[in-house]
Amino acid sequence: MSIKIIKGGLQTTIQDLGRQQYREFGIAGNGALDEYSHQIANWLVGNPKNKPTIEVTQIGPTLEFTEEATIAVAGAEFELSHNDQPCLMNTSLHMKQGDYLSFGKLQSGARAYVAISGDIKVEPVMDSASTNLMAGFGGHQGRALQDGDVLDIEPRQFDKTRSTPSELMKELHHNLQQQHIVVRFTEGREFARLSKPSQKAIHENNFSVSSYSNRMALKLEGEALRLTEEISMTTVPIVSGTIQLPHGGNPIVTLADGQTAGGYPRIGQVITADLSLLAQLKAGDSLSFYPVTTEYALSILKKKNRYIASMLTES
Amino acid sequence: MANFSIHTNSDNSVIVEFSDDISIELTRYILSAKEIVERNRISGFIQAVPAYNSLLVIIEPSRFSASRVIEKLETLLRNIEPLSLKHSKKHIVPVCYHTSLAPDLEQVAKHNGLTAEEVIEVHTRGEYPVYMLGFLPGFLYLGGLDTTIHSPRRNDPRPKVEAGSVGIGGDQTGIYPIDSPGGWNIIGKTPIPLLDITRKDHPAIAKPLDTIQFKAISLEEFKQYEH
Repeated sequence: MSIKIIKGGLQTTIQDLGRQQYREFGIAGNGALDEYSHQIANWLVGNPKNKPTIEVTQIGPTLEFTEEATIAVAGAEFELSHNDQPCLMNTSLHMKQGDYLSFGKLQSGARAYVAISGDIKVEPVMDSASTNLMAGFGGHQGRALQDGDVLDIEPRQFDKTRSTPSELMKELHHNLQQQHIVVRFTEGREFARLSKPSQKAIHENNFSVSSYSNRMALKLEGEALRLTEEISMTTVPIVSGTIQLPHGGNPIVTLADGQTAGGYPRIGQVITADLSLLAQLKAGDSLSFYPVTTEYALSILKKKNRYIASMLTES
Repeated sequence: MANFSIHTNSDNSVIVEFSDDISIELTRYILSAKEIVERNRISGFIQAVPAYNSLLVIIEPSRFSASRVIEKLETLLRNIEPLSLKHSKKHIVPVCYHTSLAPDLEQVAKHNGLTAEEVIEVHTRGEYPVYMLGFLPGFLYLGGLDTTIHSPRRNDPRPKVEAGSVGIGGDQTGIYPIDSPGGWNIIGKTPIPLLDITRKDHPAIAKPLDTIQFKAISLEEFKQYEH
């Protein structure tokens, strides 16, 4: 079967859990920015969590299904319709031949994930179906979906109707509805080089997300952070969540498509468990940082993963 | 003997920081450390990413303990020897320096009080060691650019520099492997692809400790590559 892309949306890409072993060649991890929503969408259609989903960004697509398929949408809250009738996110949707799914107004968050029971047939590149927009490979022809594209699907029958458990839903909804997001970070290698007032400001001040943000990085604006003195940095490897401080004093947070090496002071590192929160920020949103230790960051991640696994049971 | 210290970098990585000055000798130690780390797979090991004077070791966060990884690496890296150069190769990269492909060649020449021909002569004479990859997929950080052709980055970076463009930015020379915004002075273009995604174990044209030498080709030769 296939899915026709009637409207491509703002930046609709195929993503899975990414390609993790190619940073030494300058190739970023790519993959779903909000791994948890990606995982939930897959669970709703009975897929394992590493199956590719369609990542939707702020303005969603319109999809037409050429045959029956079970699909689901999770993540950022959109008005959604199934053949022009309002339908729900976070539940399995059974599409018939010729049915449409269209995304309407975005209500909260920034990115949602469409999972289709079975597999989106794309040639894996370096172990992953994820789209690398920068280098133009992976996903569907290495680019965001456009009007008129057709995705080949290897469907798998899934007759159950699953819904995201209400307890988990409540928590996700709460996170998305926040006027202000707090993400936790551990100190970066150059944190101590920040001036004393800036060391405090990084977790006391609010930052707003600049419109120059994308899948590579969140650019933040706020009261400028300062170093005690200019440091001449040698280029170093960076990872998803690295908070760098360019000369202007406005931090940049590296995301899944970001550069693998950086040359600005690394003032902090967003913890792995909170990376998915960054995926749901859009221009103008406000965030602040809260410092934690690495040990605590890891205990948060273990707890979060255990919780999600307990919610998404196979039944 | 290379001196280093190991630090927590994030909740899924530690970084080995070398205190020695950047040099090919140091890169040989770093790559040797990388091989050792890859051979002795630490629990949850994902990847070791080398840079000028550091080595990032990335671990699956659900299996990460900073203190355990640091302790393990301190033991593993106790007696590293510089990596042998026997697997290093010299790559000849054809570059067309024709005006139509070299919008900033005149500027680089003027900045250094040279003619365009002299810039090309100096640029093709050098043999540039690869220190690391990064910045863009397949981008090689090259050393060894002759001081007589150093040129400051452009004040107005271009929104799109085409893949294959060869540039000079400050004291560095390099090749844009993919279309990208860029502020380097573009002095030529290579017709060869710099990223081959079908070669999983080696998608770039060179690896650290290899060397690159540029060979001037004519516009006609350049065009022949395109067929």
